[in-house]
Amino acid sequence: MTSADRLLALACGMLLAAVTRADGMMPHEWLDRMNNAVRQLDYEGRFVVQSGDRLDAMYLVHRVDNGVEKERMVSLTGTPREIIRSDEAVACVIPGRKRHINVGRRPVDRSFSPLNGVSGEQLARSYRMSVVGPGRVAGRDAQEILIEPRDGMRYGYRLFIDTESYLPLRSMMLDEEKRPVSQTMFTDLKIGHSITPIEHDLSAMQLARADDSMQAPRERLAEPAWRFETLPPGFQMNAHRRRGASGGELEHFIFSDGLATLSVYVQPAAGEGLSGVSRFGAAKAVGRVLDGHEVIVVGEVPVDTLRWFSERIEPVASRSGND
Amino acid sequence: MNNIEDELISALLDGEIDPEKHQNTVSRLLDAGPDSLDTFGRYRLIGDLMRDETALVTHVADEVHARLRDEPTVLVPPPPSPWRWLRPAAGLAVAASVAAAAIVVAPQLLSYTDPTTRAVAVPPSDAVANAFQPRMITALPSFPGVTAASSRKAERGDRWQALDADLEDRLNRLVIEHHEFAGRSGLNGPVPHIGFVSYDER
Repeated sequence: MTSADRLLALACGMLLAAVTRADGMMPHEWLDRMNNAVRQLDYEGRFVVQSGDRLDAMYLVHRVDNGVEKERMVSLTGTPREIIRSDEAVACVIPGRKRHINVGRRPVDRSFSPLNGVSGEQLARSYRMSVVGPGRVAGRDAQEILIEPRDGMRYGYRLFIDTESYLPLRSMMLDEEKRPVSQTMFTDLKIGHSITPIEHDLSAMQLARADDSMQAPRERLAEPAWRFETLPPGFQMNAHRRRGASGGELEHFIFSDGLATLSVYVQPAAGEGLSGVSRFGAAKAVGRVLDGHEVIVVGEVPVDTLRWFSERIEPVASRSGND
Repeated sequence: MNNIEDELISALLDGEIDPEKHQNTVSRLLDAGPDSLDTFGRYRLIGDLMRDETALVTHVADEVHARLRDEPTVLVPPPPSPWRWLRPAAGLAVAASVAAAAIVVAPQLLSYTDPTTRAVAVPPSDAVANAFQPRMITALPSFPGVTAASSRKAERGDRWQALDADLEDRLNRLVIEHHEFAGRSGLNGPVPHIGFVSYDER
């Protein structure tokens, strides 16, 4: 460990100690508990979603049956939409729409979090985290956590975490000027086994299960055909997968700094492919064509971060050939 | 309360109703009974909460409900008459002004205000969620290949639907696949795909 590393570690340690709450709960401990709560608890409620100038109301029920997460989310405003997730499928319901919105099948064992295995010290290198104080959301006592990015490669967050269940009662994603990029907030919340069964009136999920024509994507373990020589500070590759697709093999990289995540997709391009920036609520996408391949980077991070990844990806073969 | 009334309330608060038709719309909601009033108040409160303005407008909401409670013709409407629009005038005026206020301050949704946020519990309405009945299901399993035959330029700030249908579908799949494989932490809300469900064609 170099002197600079020691100094950084010391600074991080001091920072973490400074933000320790009176009862000993550090900010990253609140995040860890929230991380477990959203995946392991049974809960049901209504919440509002703000993204840009849109404001929508949603209904959500989340259950864990025999260790398997199931959830149903319904839009209560605008065009009715619904997503149902189970161990078997992700189903999207869009009444009145003739053209299908395609939804990929959910992997069975993907109930994990980018926070898993990430220490408070690691997070402190990319974020300043503090426990602001008590708050109240949806009639429940909450603790407010403020997470500020140390650079422009990621967004900040303002969270109100339920002091009883550790569910996120209110979540705000903030840009560099602390303006909300998006936010969600429960207006009522019920926790425990008394919540509405997921299967209630779910003919949609039954239809999804009955569709034998659906086949899981063919995946295989293989070395990446693409690489990044460097990564932005704090980011690391969480996963890599390659699988077949009708347009050629798809390569998928997932990067995270513990909080922010983004995906890089590479696939042989047909025609000139996608180029430029687009957005979908809080999610954004950047596309470009490189060596006959289409590179698309998506995530809920600043556009410059997506562009950073899209511009620095390179094929392994050409790199090896140059060495 | 039926879906049409629910949509009227949403449209009213979203500023999607012609100002000249505000009074008629509010009257129709008032005639529908206390459920629609509750929903109106709940939706309006939702907007207030998101703007951290509950301290400012809660009293206005109370006033609206108090005025409406004092107006028996609202909760127990008499037989229709040519003068029916005049009777709940006071309540209508206040309710319409609240709606107008919600519309005017909508841009402030983007502003970040003081961290000391007030929040108010909103009573649940089981009828709202239970009323939704799925009518169509799509669950396509695979990530189809690139089908683009020509260049599609995505301009900065465009929403998915500004692109052509194939590209929109592909990006939808990519975002959902990203959520599925990147996992969840609760940072962006309790569950993934929130943006997808709240997304709407406008």
